[in-house]
Amino acid sequence: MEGYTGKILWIDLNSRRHRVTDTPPELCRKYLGGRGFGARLLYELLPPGTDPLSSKNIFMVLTGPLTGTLAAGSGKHVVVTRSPLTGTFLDSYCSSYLSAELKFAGFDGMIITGKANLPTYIWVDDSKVDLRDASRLMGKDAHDVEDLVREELGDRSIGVMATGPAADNLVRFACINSDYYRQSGRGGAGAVMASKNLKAIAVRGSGGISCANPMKMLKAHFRYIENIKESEAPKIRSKYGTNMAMALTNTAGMMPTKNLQEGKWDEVEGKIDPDSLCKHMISQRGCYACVSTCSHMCKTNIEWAGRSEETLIEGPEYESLVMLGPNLGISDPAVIMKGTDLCDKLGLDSISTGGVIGFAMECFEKGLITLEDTGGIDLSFGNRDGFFQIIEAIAYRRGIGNVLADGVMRASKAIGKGSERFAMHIKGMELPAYDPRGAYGAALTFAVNPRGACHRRAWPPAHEILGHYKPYTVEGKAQLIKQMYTENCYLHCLLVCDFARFVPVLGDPYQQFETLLSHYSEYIGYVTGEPYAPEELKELCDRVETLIRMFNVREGFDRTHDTVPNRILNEPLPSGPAKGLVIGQAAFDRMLDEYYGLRGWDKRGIPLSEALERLELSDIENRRFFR
Amino acid sequence: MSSLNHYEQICSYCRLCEIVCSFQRLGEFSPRRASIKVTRPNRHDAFLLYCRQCEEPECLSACPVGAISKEKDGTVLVDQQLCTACEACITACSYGAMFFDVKDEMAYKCDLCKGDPLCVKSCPKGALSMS
Repeated sequence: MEGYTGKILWIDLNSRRHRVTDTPPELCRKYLGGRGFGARLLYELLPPGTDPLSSKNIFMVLTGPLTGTLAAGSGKHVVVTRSPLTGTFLDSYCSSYLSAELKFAGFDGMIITGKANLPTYIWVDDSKVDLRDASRLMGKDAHDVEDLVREELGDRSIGVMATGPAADNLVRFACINSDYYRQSGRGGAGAVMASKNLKAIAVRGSGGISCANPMKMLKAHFRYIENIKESEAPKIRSKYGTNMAMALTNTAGMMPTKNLQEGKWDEVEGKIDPDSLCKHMISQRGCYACVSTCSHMCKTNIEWAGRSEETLIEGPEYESLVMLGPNLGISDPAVIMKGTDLCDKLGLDSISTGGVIGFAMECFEKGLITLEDTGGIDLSFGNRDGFFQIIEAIAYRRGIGNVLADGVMRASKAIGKGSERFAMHIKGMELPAYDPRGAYGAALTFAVNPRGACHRRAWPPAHEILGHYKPYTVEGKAQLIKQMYTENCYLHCLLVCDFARFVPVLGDPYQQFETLLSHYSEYIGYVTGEPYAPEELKELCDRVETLIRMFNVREGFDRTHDTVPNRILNEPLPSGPAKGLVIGQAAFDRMLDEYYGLRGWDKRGIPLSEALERLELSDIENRRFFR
Repeated sequence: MSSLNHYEQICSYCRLCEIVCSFQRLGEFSPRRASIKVTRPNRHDAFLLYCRQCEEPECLSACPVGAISKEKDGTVLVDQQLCTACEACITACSYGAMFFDVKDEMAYKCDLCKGDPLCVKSCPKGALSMS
């Protein structure tokens, strides 16, 4: 089989030794790569009940068969581990050159176990694996760490992933940076690295990837280029990046504002609406092999420590923009961009950081915490100084930052006084920038997402706001969400960017599920020599989703955790198109029951034996890939 | 006299030019061994290293064994049989457009794909052209 390297690198930080195994062909065929590999390997390798921040947690960096090739959007890797924020399965994706370098070095993935007794960074240079002293990197921000690693290894072109001070302090939503401005953002993957005394990973490979039918890949590539000339959506995405989503969410009244107390905010107009943000863009950026690039370098000036300081970042993206902006009552683009820059350098998930600060600001607004509790930090909504101070306090676990650094679920328990009512999380993960009261499908996808409140496994606004589904009903949403999970699942197993779906077709890709499925089923064959039948690829996705469910069930999760916060379920939005409406428990339960039924899970969300049989998961305990 | 042109403002530095170039050269995807390279000297900036097929090539002058020549159509070529991998040409090139192949251990450069550069056709932004 081509495309895959056929090798997996195992590094044990206890013994500081490494070994190489073959990538099992059955793993490739039944799980594809990326998310699928992660699901199958974590289920097999991680004993249930393992503390995510203990040396016994497993930390994997995985690629897919298309990674590093000409396939559009193929420059991604996924970190798979158990999350210290949620305790669930965690798959945390990142765009950077590290993924391609890992394939060029000859590995489909890295599996890292144990804990180093000294600060360490891993250097993989083709087949040479070196565990190096990272003491010089400790205490530095994540960008400095990357610079120092590249400098020490004498090559700026290498792939690097690194953590910042937030991970050093085991902030539960500390992230991993790669190529400076990209992150494995959510779920605390950075904290897992830090708990292993692993500060960074650097990779370089001199090999290449040979594919079964590269001429067909090239032909498809030329077709993609023609497609993006004709389609509107790629042009919009290239111009605005993901920030375009604000036009959608603010209009639909589902843009988190002031800790999701509201769903729309007129203040954004003229400041951080998508057109206004374009004024800060100075150049375009695209990920490895991206055809429909959406990123930009942006510049702003901000008053900082008594002088004007320039902030230059790749970004902000929609989530950072809203969670550090309207969700905190902030509308100044310079403040939001500086906040994003701080999160990048400190190594904090900007979504959870925004969620946690929003929670703290509502506590402050309601008098549940005071200036005395915050050590003098003014956490009024919109307060710029308070915003910057609390970000630092969280990263360094100072004062009330120490409480917030554990996420809103734990922080609200610690603060008490009824604050749990507006701790906006699911399974401990803070909600992203979509308020489900504006489109009910989001309630389902957030509730059943294995890693908590996350918008990245299904994006129902494509249908509920931009398509033909009514937003304020639950009817038909279970089937819709399941289909969207399938599409994102194979993209995440292949490790192809979500936005790559815009290039193989003309027009709206969200209306062309079967076409895209067929395209990728065939395209995999161009790379590996072994295509899939579309039904087989669908079944593979069902298998992966149910296996991840089994992992979470094994860790004690069930229907009681597949919920949405009370505010979302029962408090109506005060303004906007959804004003006065509530989802309500009964409707939510109907939607959830239907979803479980479609998956072949029982009423508690536990996979039934019929589903396990059909998906070849029934005797998984007895079919280990690795001893 | 043919050479590549690069439009910096519309380039997104996605490296597709490297990816297809390496395929053209080697039959596999190995951008590190492409004849065109994106370079990121710091956190923010990106540049494209590509051969200008100079009128008076610095690489040609620097080569101690005469392995570099300029064809009638202007393309500057390296004769791999003669190359001793001394890297003088790599040091000499002001555009950073002569490369050292880590596997084959020799100097190599863009040969304009014999008149129909694949990078030009494959750039999704149209940031490359041939004049």
